[in-house]
Amino acid sequence: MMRRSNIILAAAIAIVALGVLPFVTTPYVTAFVLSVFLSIGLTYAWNLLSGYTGYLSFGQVTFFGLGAYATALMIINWHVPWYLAALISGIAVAPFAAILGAIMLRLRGPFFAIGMLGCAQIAQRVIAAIPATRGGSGLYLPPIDSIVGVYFAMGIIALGMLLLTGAIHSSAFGLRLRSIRDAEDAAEVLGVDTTRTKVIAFVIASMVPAMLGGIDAWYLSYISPSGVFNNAIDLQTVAMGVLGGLGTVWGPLVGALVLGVVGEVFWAQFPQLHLGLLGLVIALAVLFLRRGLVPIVVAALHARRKAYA
Amino acid sequence: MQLAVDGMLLGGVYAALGIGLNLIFGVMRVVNLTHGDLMMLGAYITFSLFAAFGTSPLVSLVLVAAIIFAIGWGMQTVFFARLREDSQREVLSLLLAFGLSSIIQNVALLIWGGDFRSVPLFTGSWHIGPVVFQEVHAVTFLCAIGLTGATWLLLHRTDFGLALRAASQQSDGARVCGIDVARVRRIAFGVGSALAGIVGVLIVLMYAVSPQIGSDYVLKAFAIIVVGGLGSFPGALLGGALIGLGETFGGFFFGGNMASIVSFVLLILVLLIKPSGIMGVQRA
Repeated sequence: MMRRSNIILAAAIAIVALGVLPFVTTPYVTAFVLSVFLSIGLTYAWNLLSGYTGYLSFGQVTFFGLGAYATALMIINWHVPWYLAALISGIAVAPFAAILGAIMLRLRGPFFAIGMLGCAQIAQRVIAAIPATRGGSGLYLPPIDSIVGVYFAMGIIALGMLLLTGAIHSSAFGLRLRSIRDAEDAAEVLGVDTTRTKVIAFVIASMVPAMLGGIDAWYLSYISPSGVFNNAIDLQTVAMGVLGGLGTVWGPLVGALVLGVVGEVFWAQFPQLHLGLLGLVIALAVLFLRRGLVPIVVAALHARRKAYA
Repeated sequence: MQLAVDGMLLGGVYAALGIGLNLIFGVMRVVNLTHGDLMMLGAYITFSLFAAFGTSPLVSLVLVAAIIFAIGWGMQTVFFARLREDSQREVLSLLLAFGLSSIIQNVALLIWGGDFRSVPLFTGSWHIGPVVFQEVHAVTFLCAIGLTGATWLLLHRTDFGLALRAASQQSDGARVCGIDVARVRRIAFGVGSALAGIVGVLIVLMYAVSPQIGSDYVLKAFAIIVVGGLGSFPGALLGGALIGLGETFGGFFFGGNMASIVSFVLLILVLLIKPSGIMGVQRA
């Protein structure tokens, strides 16, 4: 491995570079990096629940959509500043997620996964049926004049989730999360409050998408039920999480970076193949890369260091 | 009364949808998330044959069964059979099915585009007393019942059915007794998939389909077998009837948009109150 000081130096350079990036490059590059930040944030949030506890959720887009609508309605009706509206959406979704999590997490394995898929569908239909959302015709937000604010907001959330995951990974809480994945009943017998642990992970995995959904609504200036509750958002998140490595600190970052760049460079020419390619990534990663890309990257770094020595 | 009849007729089709999913879950312990997508493929193949050659859906049914059987057989052989038998298998199989589902949807989108399609046949109806029987509902119901009956016979009256039930209850024991478990699993995956395809033939007669409807229907199929009881044959019938009735009544009282929510609400309620389903067998 690299020495600790090297890692800190590399991280500092990366943060400074990303910090000045929107001021020195084209809006196209800024928008691309912004979209990667969004993916990183979503994937870390999903990884905390599904990667660490093994409770696969195919429905975290529920909270992305709820956050988008809550934020949009606050901006349109009460003229709340967008960053505040997104933050409030994220916090407001927490008690709701705690209740839903306490119910849904009683289900295990495929039941939880498919139950969450159902939640996203219900949320989409219920939101579309509320008059204030104007149903399928969607909501228009004021146009934004600069994407720099959105860029930094998404960047801070992405970085925050990386640091949070790093802190949790080696903590007692992180151990409890993994004990649920490996042997939930045994953990319960040994005195781990599994319900509490799962629900906390679920709440974090819901608040972050809600905030990101809110920021995205402001960024796109237009939202519709089929747009913000789109299964494809979860599909992409799951693909990035699985490719990088489930239940690892660096997995979501690596997965989101690799798929983000590959998607932009190669797939952008075949938008009609996007869904299938993401599906293929998941299927191949499950069969041939069970631990994701991270162990491979680590091994490569080891090999390089040996070559220098 | 009218609603009850419509609901029961729809329930018959739903039961057939649930049985295919049940079969695959029973043998492989895999919840096949592609079930709804295979159904969608069956529907589109029927549409294409009808649009191009005017083929009767009752004829294309046979062809669809063969094609979707081959796809299911292939998915088991190429993908699911490669998963190792360890503690991670359940999580990985779900992820795998999730990925395959979006591949199938994408392929359908490339071939048929995103438009809604349907096959408008059997549009007549009969009046019996105050109740209207729509011809299409009667035809699909009879087909679904025939399909259900045939599956029951296959499972309970043939050597293959015996081998399949043995492999699902005790795969190691079955292997010791000389049953080729891998082969049984491939065929079971094929048969379960073919059932989904045939239901697709029936669905396209009643409703318009699009490449994305699979995710709606896999939830429905899952609701059906969970409500009735995972792995229980009569349970799937009961679940199909309940979901069919629930949707018909829900659609009448709360509007069509809310009808599809009924099955999910029923699903969540049953999962929370009696996770083994109404007619489910408790497993150790």
